[in-house]
Amino acid sequence: MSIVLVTRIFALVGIGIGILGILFRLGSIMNRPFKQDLARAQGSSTRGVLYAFTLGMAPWEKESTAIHWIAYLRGILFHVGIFLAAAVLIASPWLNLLPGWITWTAAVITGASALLDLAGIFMRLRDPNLRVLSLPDDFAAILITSAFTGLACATLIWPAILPAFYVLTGLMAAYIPFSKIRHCVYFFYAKFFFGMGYGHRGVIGQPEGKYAE
Amino acid sequence: MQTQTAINTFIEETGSWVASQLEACTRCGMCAEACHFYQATGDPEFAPVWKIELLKRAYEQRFTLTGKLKLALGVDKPIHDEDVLHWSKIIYEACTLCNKCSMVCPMGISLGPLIHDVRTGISKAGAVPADLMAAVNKQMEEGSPLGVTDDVYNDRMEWVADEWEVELPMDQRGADTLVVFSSIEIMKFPENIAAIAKILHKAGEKWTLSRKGREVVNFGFYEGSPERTKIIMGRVFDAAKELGVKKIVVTECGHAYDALRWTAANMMDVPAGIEVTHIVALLGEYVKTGRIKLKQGAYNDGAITFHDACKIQRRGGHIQEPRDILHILAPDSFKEMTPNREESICCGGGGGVIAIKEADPIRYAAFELKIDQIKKAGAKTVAMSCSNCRLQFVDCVQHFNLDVKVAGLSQMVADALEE
Ligand code: SF4
Ligand code: SF4
Repeated sequence: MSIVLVTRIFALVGIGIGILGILFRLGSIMNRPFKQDLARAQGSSTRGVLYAFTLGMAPWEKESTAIHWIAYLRGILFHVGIFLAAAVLIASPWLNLLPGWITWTAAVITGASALLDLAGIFMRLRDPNLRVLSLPDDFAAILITSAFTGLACATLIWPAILPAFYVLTGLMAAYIPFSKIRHCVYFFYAKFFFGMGYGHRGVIGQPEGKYAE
Repeated sequence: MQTQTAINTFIEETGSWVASQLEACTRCGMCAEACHFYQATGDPEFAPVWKIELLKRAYEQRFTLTGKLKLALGVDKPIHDEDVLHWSKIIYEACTLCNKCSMVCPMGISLGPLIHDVRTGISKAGAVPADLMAAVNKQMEEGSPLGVTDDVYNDRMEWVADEWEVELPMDQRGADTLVVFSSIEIMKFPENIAAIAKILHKAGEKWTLSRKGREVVNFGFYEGSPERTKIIMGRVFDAAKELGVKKIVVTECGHAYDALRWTAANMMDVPAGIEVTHIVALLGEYVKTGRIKLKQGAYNDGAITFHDACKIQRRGGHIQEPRDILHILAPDSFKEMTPNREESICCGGGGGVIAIKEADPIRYAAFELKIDQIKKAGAKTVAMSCSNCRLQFVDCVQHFNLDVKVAGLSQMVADALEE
């Protein structure tokens, strides 16, 4: 068996563990009682959910993102890099078929994303508030995700790195259920509930008021 | 103290909704700067995400493998008595449950309700700050935290009726609307009662007051005790049922509105066919439908701004109505503060904080953010629709010796009614 095949299997096993772990966690949450909001609606929950997943994430909509636009931009860019690295992983058996400009564009984005992600370590150490809040998992998550995007970048430039990318993928995927990286799943739940709750109350996403202007 | 009861409560409170919120947190720290107490003091313990730490710890240690492992390895500590006491100070003295942090969290985590859950656990453990608990007990025993007993209520209402020459219908069966004031209005801002009575008469509303349901304030809700919250809300609902009204109007009180309008249905059997609304919604409707007419530009001399109350605007959705009204009353002089609406900065006195003497220094410190906002807007008058905010404003205007007028929106509307 070639090293590529062995490491690919390793990656697949890791991904399998990751998916199972997330499903297990999700299952135990879903088994907990869910209380529906029985108060009479004042606005539309659907509009609230739509708003939460669209305009609500726009930088100009929130004072906090407008003020902290560097942190916002960093967050957007390194998440784009992670998704792109995942795409590189899926396309990994056929990377040599990609046109050169796509390969190089993807390499630049994933490389930049790795650096921006890594910057999170310094941000956490520098900011006194973040320092107090941070747990070892925060640093581990940054290290492993920036290694993931960094290796995706390296694989695009030097295809021989692919086995290392697979090994890292396997490790990262298996680590997800135990780390805060699992927010990639729970984000959708929290945002959905946010949109539903505040839409129901007529605070966000409604035709009248701020969002109709 | 019963720490285990607190832990059990945290676990009970952690349904799928709470659990998914806790799981989504990335510890990014963005919520910290949303909190006026953190902004005013820079104390990392006042970061909203830190305020829910006990809930998170209880959840993880009970439901997750990582939490159990961390506990077994000694990386994480179980919750002790001193933790409960420590967090009691943080979440009662340095949190107004304003929910601004939710609006800022990139994940959309509803921190306000989660902090309320922490209060529930701590209240069950018997670790509520003494001042707040004294007010709760007073309300349970006398019906009001400010001592508005039956006799006091009768006297005050008679006096208001005489002083402002308004009619205050009492215990009128067959009325459509029950109006319930807060003891802050009854004792500190009685002019609000007269103002609202004047507006209701002008609008031709068939309304009544009730001796039984005479207090809308709910200190059980501040405390986080579901049992006491229900008992106190029950007094208002029972009165409404007995009088056969179709609507309960909560006057200028934010948290009482949050309790009766949004929480009651999820906590207890609320009488069918009775709608709960806030006075600001009613005013908006009266103006929109022409039931009352206001003098255009009645307040056009000197810049005027509006303070959004956390429980009425940010959590209650009545963001537009006060603005529609102020655009009539002060078309040229109305100025927004920044940030405003659902992102507005809390006054720092809500959530029971103003009732806790030990919280005074941080309450005043938090208000300095508001002073800055008012100055930047160049406002000489600040209008608002919550009497708890108004109490904080009046106290802070005096404390900081500010040249700012504090006005209740209902009072402004009443003074600007077209004859
Ligand atoms: S802003 Fe939201 S995700 Fe970030 S630390 Fe606060 S609660 Fe957690
Ligand atoms: S609810 Fe308000 S006071 Fe409480 S932590 Fe959040 S921002 Fe601070």
